[in-house]
Amino acid sequence: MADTDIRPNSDSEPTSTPHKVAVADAEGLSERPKTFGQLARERFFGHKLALIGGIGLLLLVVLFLVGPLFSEWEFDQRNVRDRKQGPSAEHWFGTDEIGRDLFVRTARGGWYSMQIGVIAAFVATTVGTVLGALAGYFGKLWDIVVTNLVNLILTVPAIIVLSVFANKYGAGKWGLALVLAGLLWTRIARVVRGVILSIKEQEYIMAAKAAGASHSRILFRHLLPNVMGAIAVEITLLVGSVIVLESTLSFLGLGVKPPNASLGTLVRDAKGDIDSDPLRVLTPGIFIVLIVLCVNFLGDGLRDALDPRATGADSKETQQAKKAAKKARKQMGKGDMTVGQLQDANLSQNERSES
Amino acid sequence: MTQPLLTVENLNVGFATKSGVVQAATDINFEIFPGEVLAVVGESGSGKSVTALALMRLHPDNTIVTGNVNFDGHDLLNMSDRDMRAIRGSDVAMIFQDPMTAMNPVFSVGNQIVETIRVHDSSVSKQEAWTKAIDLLKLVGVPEPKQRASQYPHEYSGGMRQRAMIAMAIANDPKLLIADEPTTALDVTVQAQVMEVLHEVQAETGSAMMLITHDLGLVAGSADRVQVMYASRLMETGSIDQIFYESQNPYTRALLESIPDIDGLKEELSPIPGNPPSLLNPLAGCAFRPRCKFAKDVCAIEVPPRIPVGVNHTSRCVLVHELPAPAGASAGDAS
Repeated sequence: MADTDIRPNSDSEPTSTPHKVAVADAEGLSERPKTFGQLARERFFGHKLALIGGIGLLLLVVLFLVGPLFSEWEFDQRNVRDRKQGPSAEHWFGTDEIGRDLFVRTARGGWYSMQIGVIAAFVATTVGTVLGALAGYFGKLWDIVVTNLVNLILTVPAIIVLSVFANKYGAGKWGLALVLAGLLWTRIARVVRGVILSIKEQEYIMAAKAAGASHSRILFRHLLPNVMGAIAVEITLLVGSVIVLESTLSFLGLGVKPPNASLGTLVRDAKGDIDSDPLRVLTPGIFIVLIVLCVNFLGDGLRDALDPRATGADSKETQQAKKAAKKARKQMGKGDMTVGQLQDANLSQNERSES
Repeated sequence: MTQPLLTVENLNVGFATKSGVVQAATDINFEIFPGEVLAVVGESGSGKSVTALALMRLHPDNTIVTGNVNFDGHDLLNMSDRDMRAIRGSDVAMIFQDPMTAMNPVFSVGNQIVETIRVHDSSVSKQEAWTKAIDLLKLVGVPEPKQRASQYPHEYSGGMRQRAMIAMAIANDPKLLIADEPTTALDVTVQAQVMEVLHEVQAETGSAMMLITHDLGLVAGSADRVQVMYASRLMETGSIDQIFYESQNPYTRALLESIPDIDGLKEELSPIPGNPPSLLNPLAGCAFRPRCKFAKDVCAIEVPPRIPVGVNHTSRCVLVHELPAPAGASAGDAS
């Protein structure tokens, strides 16, 4: 990539190379400009929390999918002799009240919760984005219908509606996910509508119209990309909410049916023994927290990565330019450097911090 | 002369507001011929931009537009939205005032030019359009166009963005360019460069231009004909020389006098006293009457008609034959 071309090689040529770097940076031109994808990737990988979130999620998925393969137990295999055991070499997370291995059940439940979270968030986002965008952009009747629908759903007591629907359709993964999505799309719709309302009056939308763009083109090519950052955050918050809501439903006995497991049912099954064996409640609880946390970190990183104006993480070039400038100042102190070179180095640093 | 490219007849633009109709453009009549630069000059709020937006049908929903606009055989005000879209950006293109906000921040500049090209001709491949975008950026004087094309608007300086806007506007070889205060948001040195670019581009493509501005200095250097607007009406229309040296309208003269003199011969600026009138409750008679130093009782009787005062030269002033001879030349020097 371009960064190898302009990397300051100050060890071998301490005087000439930093100068060259500074000039390139002052013009704002690296050798080959980067595409949006490259920039986004760079910003994402420069974002420590997002990396932690992403890696954490990957590890969790691996744990949930691969972990049970190393265990000799099945998720619904009862072992009456080993009821209510604590963690041991045989049962890593212990066993429940009818002697099922809790590690295998936690892994299964965790994977199940994640799947529901992603499906529900995806469906809710799609529906919410489309309806929110139509309401925000076209206004009038669209806006009235969508806004009132959103308000209606928001006023409905979620848990009660969910209990009714979840009881009827909620046994399966898809059923549960769709019921949750039906309730949660309103959040996305409100955010998207708000953002679009604020940017559709911008001059560049007028300019797009003046260039002959049609409604659908303005909506999908000009407005929605500007909403992406906001949506990215909202999606990840949504995944978190879905997982928590699903756990709640399962806890209430409305979601996942036994012998299947989700993190929520695991907490419920253990709640009677919370005094004698708190670990059995804590373990699935901790996994809920871990998943939600990782997803939220990821969302933060995605938002920054998808915003072309984001300053967020410094790119490699910037970090190197800053280092070069620092080094240059030190050398100046030693009298090794001309004033011009120092100015160039400073200039490049200033440019970066401004943008 | 040849057939006019754009004919505007009796154009009225009003905004329906809670407190009544604000008449933003009244009784506008003008023509633009192919290849000509028509400057529309006036204070803020005189109806210049509103007129332009109404021509493009980009006005807000609460706007009432009446009149006739004929562009190259098309009836712009009564054609379908679809046909109107086909004309926008290809036959009539617009350059906006503030290059900071007129570009989509999430797309690279090249991408936005490609977009403009492909909206109107989807047979052009992305590759070809990209190459054309780079050529256009080069044409408007953006240095390093290859690299610059894939940069985002926030990585451009103000002048550079306005150049990119011009590149975008001429991407489809429009017959008419509407430049709505193209240099207002730029600083003076950059203004000159951008005007230069506009000129070269206009000469290159042979398109006509409607240059909307409140800067008379800009007009002097670049327009063929000028029309001066005040309080929603055309006050005076004429060739550049007629307006600058033989103005027959008190408002135009007052505008010219208020230009700072670069030689420093004038000791003080002479601004026009007072404020532009409310367009909600227009004054009876001439709208400029309260600020006019020649005003007489006759001025209050009716809105002055457009009185021909020369070849293609009209002025909306009942006193046109009683005005002192134009002072003329001083303004010419200033530009």
